[in-house]
Amino acid sequence: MWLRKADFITGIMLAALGLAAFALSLKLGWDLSVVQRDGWYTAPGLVPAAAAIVLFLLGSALSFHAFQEGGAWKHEDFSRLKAAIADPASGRSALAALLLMVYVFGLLGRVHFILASFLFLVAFMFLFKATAWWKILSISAIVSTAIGIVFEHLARIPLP
Amino acid sequence: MKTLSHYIVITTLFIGLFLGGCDSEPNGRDAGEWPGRKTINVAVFASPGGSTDLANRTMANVMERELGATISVLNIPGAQGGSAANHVWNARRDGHTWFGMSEGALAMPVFGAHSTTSRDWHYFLICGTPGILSVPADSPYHTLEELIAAIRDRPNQIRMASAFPGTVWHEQYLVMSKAAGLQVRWISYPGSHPSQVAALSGEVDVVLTGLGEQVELLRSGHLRPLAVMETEPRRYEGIGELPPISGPLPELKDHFPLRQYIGFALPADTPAEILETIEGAFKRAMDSDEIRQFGEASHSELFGYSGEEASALFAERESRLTWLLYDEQLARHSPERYGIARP
Amino acid sequence: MEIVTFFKEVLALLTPMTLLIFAGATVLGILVGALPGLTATLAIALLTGVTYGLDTQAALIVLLGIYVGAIYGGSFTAIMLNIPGTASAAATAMDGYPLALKGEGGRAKGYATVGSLMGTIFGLIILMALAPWISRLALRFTAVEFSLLALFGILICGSITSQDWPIKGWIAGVLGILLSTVGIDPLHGYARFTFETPMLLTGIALVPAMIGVFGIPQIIRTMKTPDAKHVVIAESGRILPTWKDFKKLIPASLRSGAVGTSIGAIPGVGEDIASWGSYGVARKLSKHPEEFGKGSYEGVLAAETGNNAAIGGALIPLLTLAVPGSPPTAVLLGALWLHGIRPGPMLAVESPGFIYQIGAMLLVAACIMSAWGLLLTRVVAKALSIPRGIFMPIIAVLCVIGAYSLNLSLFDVWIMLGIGLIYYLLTEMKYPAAPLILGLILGPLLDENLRRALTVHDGSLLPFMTRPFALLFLLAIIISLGSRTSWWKRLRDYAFRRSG
Repeated sequence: MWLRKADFITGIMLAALGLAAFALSLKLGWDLSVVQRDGWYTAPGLVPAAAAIVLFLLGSALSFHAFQEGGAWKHEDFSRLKAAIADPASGRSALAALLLMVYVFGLLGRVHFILASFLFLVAFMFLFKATAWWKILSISAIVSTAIGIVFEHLARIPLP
Repeated sequence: MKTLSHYIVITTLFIGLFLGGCDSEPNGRDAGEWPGRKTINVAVFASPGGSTDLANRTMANVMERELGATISVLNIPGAQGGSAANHVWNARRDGHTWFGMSEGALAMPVFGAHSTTSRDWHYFLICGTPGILSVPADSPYHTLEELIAAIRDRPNQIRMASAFPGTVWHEQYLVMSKAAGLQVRWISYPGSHPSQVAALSGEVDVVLTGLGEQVELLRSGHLRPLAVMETEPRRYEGIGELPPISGPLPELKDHFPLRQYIGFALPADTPAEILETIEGAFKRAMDSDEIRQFGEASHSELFGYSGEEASALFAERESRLTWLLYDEQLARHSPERYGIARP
Repeated sequence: MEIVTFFKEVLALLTPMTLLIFAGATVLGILVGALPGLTATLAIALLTGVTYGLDTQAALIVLLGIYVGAIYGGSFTAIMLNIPGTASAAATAMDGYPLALKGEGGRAKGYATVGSLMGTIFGLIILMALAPWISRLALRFTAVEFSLLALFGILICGSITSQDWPIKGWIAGVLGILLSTVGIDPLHGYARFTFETPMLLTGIALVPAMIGVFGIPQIIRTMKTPDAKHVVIAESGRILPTWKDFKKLIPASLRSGAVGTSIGAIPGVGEDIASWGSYGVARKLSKHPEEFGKGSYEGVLAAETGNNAAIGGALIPLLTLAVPGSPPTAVLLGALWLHGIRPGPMLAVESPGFIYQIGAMLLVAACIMSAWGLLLTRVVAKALSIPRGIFMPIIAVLCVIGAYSLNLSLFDVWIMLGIGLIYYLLTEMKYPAAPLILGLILGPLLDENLRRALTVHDGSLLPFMTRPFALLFLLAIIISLGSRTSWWKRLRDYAFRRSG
């Protein structure tokens, strides 16, 4: 049931995305001199525009069918949704996502890759209570330096 | 405990195996002296396997010896060279990050790919291969004159393949069509090899790519060369003498030679003594056997230009290329915006 | 006569020293392939410089060994973790991971190994026997055929989903196509959807996107459940298929080999598309198509046979026309040049034995690769019995470095995580990940070639129907859409049919 309700909303969002992409692709180089000479069908906007229309149609179809199969939102659904968000499983996945975001958007580029990875590993394992603290520290240190060495010195990829 | 020991075992195994496959770190010099122990990275703006990549890899091998440093070549294609340029431009000015490029990089500012112009770089130009105009073996055109007559006869009908805008072959095509009024239907391909395949498969009538890429197909007779994109006739082993493109099209004499220049560059504000050290090593490298052999194998002319000489050459070329692209509405920005004067 | 030359070449390779180089090169290839973000192309490019000083034979062994190993290595992480190590292993994950969840990962790996071995051998036989003929045929592929091929592939998107309505597969595929158009247009150099942001000019690179859609949802999903149980049910027992099972699969693997080699031989189309093509054909012709996507050994075998068979295929245009058949062979061409070998039409005249030497090297590399594969399967299965709380963050670090290393760009890492987080929500709503990747691979192929075909043929659609290969693809597309009853109704039923 939740799936169809979600499908209903996503369908609308996808259709809107399709429309927006279509509007943008109408401005993509239809007036280039090369395109004027060779024909409108060579314009850079051709395939994006077509894909956007298809996305709009698919999104609308998805919404429509989800609605037919009980995808409409009723008043009491919102309170049930709140309960679902408060579920510990959602909390755990949100924590994992948050840790990833802090690591990628916050740490990388500001501190050296090895240190950033070490911090991320330690935080992740601690918060998910993976194992004893000394194991966490040693595993994090070994893994982050090992990955750093393998990439920086052996694969010759300069690290961020 | 058991899991930890597992992990340590696997990690060590991992490192050991990688160590086995790669060469060891060469010894650096004293800490104070450039280049020191730090690895030099050459960020090449094209995919691995292409001519810019190959020339830079060969050069890196020789320069490793000349500079006594580790040099590793990385490929950062994309955004018409902008990705690699950006990587190099944002690196510290310690001479350890080089930009592997060709004259195509001059189009970056007008394409909106990177805001630097030729004034911002110190160039080292290694080599370039001449452009060859060819037709498939079963083509009805046997001479350049026949082809030109056919193009004039049926404007916009003869199909010609070359690499995408910004490459030297596209530039040569543009000059040909503008200065000599040759109206062909130009078809864009992602590089020299796909352009040549298009000629072999009959998708296009004419192909314009470099000798280095075409030579095997010319020698085997799959492609028939009609002209070399120069102002003087050229003779190549196994192919014979080729007439210059400017023969029947004397208008082109004002614009040609338009050569390919492959090399590398450093930001011009890199400390002068570092640039001098690289200059010295570069000149020695250009005289080495490896580079000479590479020139022969890739059918390229060796240049060895750097410093003022290269900058003057590129500034002049930049002005011609960017305005050409702008006038053809292929460029997003006017060269004026970057202070590039009209030729 | 040729067979004698070939076996002489094989015998010449069986010295302890060369075998040692083979062993080192293939295992390095397997590791590179298994790590997300490190691709066969990158590994060959990296080793080109290192092998510069070696003699030509040793250098070729290293490069071909890496190539064969890396294409196979992607299947490890694809099967065990649902994170394909290379784009060419994305099709392997479709059935490999469901099998691993059932506790049959080891056997899936066994099938993948057998498939890769057979595929490589099939490819090298075709390479030696039919190279000139195949390369002539591959030249029939022009922009018209490429665009229809891409269109056909995109239609497959709807059929590779299995969890919910097939329309979700198409949505993912179309999203992939739209994402692929971000950046500089390859035809006219025109910037699309970049919003004046220089970083978007490069576009959405395939590898970071792939790591994102496969890796990130996997990490979050695994952490959702609290127990510290193992990621993959460790199992012992038989890895290799029994002779009886194997015999049944021979026709299927020959077919996959043929598909993989032919797709590999088409210039510009590589292992990535070969594995999907082979998977799609196997599914269409299988007696049990309903098992595909839920854990079909046939599916694993088809995908892995297909991508390794593409190696021999990709070498065909490389050696006969000096035209690389796939991205790794483009690098290989450069490496050959540096060693003074000029592939191309003259190669067969100037050094007639060379193609057999390559064939022999591929054969030995394939055998050693299989040995390593079987050996490593058990080690890897052991490594995966680490508790998820420790294992998943390590995978996350590998995802990050993998996304970064291809273009040395932090922006790619952001793209990886951004797409990954969005895709986590989409996978919760049962959208498949693979079609998005297929869309990203096929999008540029369609975009570039459709417009090129229309330019070449002056906007005429006639060549799409009159060229023999094009007609074949067009018929295939029409058949797969179905036109028996009202096609609209059929399309609707198809898009929303309930599966299982």
